Amino acid sequence: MKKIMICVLVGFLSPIFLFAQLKKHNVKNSIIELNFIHTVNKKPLILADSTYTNSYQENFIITSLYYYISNITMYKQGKIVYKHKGYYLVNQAIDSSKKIAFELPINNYDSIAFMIGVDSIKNISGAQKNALDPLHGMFWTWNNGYIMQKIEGTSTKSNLVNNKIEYHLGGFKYPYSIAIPTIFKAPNQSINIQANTTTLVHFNVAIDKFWKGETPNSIAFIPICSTTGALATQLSKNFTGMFSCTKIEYVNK
Amino acid sequence: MKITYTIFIIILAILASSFCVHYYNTTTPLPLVIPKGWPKPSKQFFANNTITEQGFQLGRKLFYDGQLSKDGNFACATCHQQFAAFSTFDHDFSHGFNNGLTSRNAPSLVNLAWMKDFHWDGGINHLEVQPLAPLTAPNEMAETIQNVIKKLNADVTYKKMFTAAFGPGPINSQKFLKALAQFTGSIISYNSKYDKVINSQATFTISEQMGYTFFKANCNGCHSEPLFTDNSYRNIGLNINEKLNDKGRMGITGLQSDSLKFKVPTLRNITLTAPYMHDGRFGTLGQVFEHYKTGINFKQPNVDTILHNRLVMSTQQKFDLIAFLHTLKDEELLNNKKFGPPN
Repeated sequence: MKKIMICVLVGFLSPIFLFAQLKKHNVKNSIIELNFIHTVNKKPLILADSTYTNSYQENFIITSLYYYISNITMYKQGKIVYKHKGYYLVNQAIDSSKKIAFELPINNYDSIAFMIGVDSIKNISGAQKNALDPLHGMFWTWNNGYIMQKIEGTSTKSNLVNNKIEYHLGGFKYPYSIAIPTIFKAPNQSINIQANTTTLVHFNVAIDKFWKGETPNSIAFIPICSTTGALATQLSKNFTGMFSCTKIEYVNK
Repeated sequence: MKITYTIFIIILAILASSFCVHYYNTTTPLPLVIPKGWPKPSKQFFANNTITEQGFQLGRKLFYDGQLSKDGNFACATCHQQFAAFSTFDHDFSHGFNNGLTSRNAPSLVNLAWMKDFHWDGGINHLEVQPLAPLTAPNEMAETIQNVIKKLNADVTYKKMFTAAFGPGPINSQKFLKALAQFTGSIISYNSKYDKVINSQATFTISEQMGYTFFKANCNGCHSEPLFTDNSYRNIGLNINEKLNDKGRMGITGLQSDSLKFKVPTLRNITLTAPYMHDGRFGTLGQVFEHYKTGINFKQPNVDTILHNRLVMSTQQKFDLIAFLHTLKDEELLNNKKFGPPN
């Protein structure tokens, strides 16, 4: 009887062990971790409690900052050599959301690209889950599509009710799509993914640049954007302009 | 001997594990009905959402459950009543939370699987995500998605039904929305007298036949058979209601050329879905005909060119057309208990 039990157990468990072992011994992959550091005027962003000043000398407080990261791709010699399928929602209020880690093939990559947003397919394919779950408040329910980039706060320079500032940026349809991949490269460094090493890619996200980017937008002039269109497309360029890849670090496991 | 014994055990293990898979897969498929002579649904709303008996029944329970709203009073079925072909009977606007009133006429929910977009302005791009709009609107169900999911997870009956339909694990908004889509997408109106005539199972009266002939000559361009809509957006020259200031499709696309365009509604069950138009401004079919005869405001720059020849219609033709439109009533759907409140 005991023998039968053992045989049944072995019969059940051997495929599981086999797969687990296969995965463990796959040394061709290693870990990358994207690390997003939010700053205002070179100081760490603090939600709600700190008042900052932009280049127009307008004071402002940030109460929330959200954005999607998706369609992460790795480049080598100008060509895409790896695509990652994950969708991530970065939320300033949740520290763990600012670190995006996944496995990818070992290789010496030149640069990394991603959308600060959600591609058009996921905008039109019905109910999604996890990072794309509509309960995160990042989905427009009356004119469907994801809010891809979001900054909320207050400023005495805003003429809106309660001095609100509210930038909800989205759009996935031509000509007002902001779901555009952007390529990032660390200064003088490649992204060398090696065995038994975690590669940390640091991004500085300078919130103050939102008001001094490609499109000049003082708070007094534009305190709000909550629909897709030309304004959202312009402001999104500023949002993307907040991001820069600062350095690559290697941590041995 | 030992080898035979091992083989026997391995076979037993395989059988046992396949039984386990089977146990989690005891859903009964309930494929979408595609009526004879109809086109294939334009979008694949069910490509990643196989309709099953368990999912359908769950969607049905959700559709009739007032708990989805903030105060427990407003179910989907409150504004989409089966006896009115899933529109709000005899209401221009529908009632919602805290004495709220909607700003558009509740459309009839039939043949949704054949639509491309939803709402009068087409702002909803997939059947699954439509319920998010009325659910969160402060003048309709006024609830948050988080609260709905919390309420469902706290309900033992729902937990069982969600497990039966989608397998184990917590209830999330995706499962919730897929279940609702399985129910609403399965509401198909294809058993009216008109359908029976087309399938040679009945004959029109002379008046109905005359009305059908008139319909084909004058209405079929937009209200195309067999769905009685071409799913397009058109400006039919209605004067704007200043209070509502509803620009229709333009509110979604931002294009001036889409100003005052609204979705062409289906005419199936049209005699039950009064009042008519996106704001329910016309109480009777006679008023609708009168609009096409004399009421179109041609000062609006983008009135649909199909309407540039005004409708010419005699009193007899009016009676005949109404007689024909009555043949689009689908009694079988209106009385089908399968789509009614669950027991």
